Amino acid sequence: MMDATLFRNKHQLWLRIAYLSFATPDFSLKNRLYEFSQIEFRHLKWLSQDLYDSNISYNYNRDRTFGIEFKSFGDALHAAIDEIRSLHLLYDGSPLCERMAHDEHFILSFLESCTESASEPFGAFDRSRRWPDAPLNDEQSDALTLFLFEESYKEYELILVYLYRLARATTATQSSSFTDLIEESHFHLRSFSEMMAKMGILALPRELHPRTYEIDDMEKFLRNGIVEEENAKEECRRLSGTITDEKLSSFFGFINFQESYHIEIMKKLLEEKIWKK
Amino acid sequence: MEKSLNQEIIEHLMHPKNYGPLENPTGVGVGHSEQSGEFVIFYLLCNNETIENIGYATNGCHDTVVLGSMFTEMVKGQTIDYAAVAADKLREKVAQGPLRQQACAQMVLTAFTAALINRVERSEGSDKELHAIEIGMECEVEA
Repeated sequence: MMDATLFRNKHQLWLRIAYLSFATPDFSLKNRLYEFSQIEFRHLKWLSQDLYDSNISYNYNRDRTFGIEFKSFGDALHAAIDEIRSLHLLYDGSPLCERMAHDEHFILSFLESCTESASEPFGAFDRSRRWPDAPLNDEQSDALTLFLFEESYKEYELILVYLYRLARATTATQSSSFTDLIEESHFHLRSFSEMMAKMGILALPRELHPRTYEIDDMEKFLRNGIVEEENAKEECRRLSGTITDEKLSSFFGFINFQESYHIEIMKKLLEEKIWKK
Repeated sequence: MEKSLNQEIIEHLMHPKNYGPLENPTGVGVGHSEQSGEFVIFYLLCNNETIENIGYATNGCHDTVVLGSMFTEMVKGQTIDYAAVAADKLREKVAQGPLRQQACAQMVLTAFTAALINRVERSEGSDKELHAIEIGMECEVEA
């Protein structure tokens, strides 16, 4: 049945597969899993639209016991397999559920094929806080650590807030702007989370409180969002100045410039007048 | 909080303690900045004068998350009187630190105070869902 319970489980499955991808050091497996996580996110998008159109309420709560930290890739893989199987018990015969089940049968067979070579321990959670690609001093490691925690939460928050707004979009401009912003935040979340995994501090962003996404005043939300983007740019600039490694510094310069265009998209959204709750 | 990150702070960042709402709370309070939209919300479950359970949530920065996590650990299972002492300790701890941390601590402690106020309101028969207090300082006070 399409309801808030199904939505919660799909939300968790998207995170499960995305964080499995972030935690895995194997490059080709990482990419394949990330593609699957994006399929799961599309399901979530379609489901949120269906629920909203059917006037069924849903939220971004997660199960208290839901976590992504495992000792080995195999343990994480088994959790994903079990979750997909129990998720299928919630599907009804609607075209959307049929599509989701079909996709997940394929994903399931891929995950099951990986279980034989999945005993190696994860380094993504070892808390070493060493950046493997260049030597960083303690001050630089601390600055990078805090930046990654801050921004990975913000990107997750933005993805979910924009997804909430996308289901409620009233014009083509709103739809295309929120879609663009979601895609940009996916790229940032992936980049920052993979860096966290390399440093052994990969963690699930904390859960969103409804006050974050149930928005009464969209103009104020957008104006605050523009200030937040400016702050994120400033954080990137600051980090780029603290970290002397050329590759890292240039990466944060690249992210900084992307934030500038987000501000332009948000300014365009400020011209929109009709918003649904 | 210390200037450099230690393992304890990393744990609070990776797994904030007591994060999220409680079911059937006896008091709910919000500290928020109208200007920036930042908030901290506290949920209390008290039995007489004892805080049996506590939860919090925020859209604020990592300092707010860590301070909320530490503070809830300090007061969970303790009396409300003890919580007032713990709040003073937290204020003292951040008083020598950056302004940004002081603003975060203020938001955390304001939300906790608001939850205590709501607890009293409810015990007097009010059906108010939460008590909100606006604060003047913001996390982003310091470059």
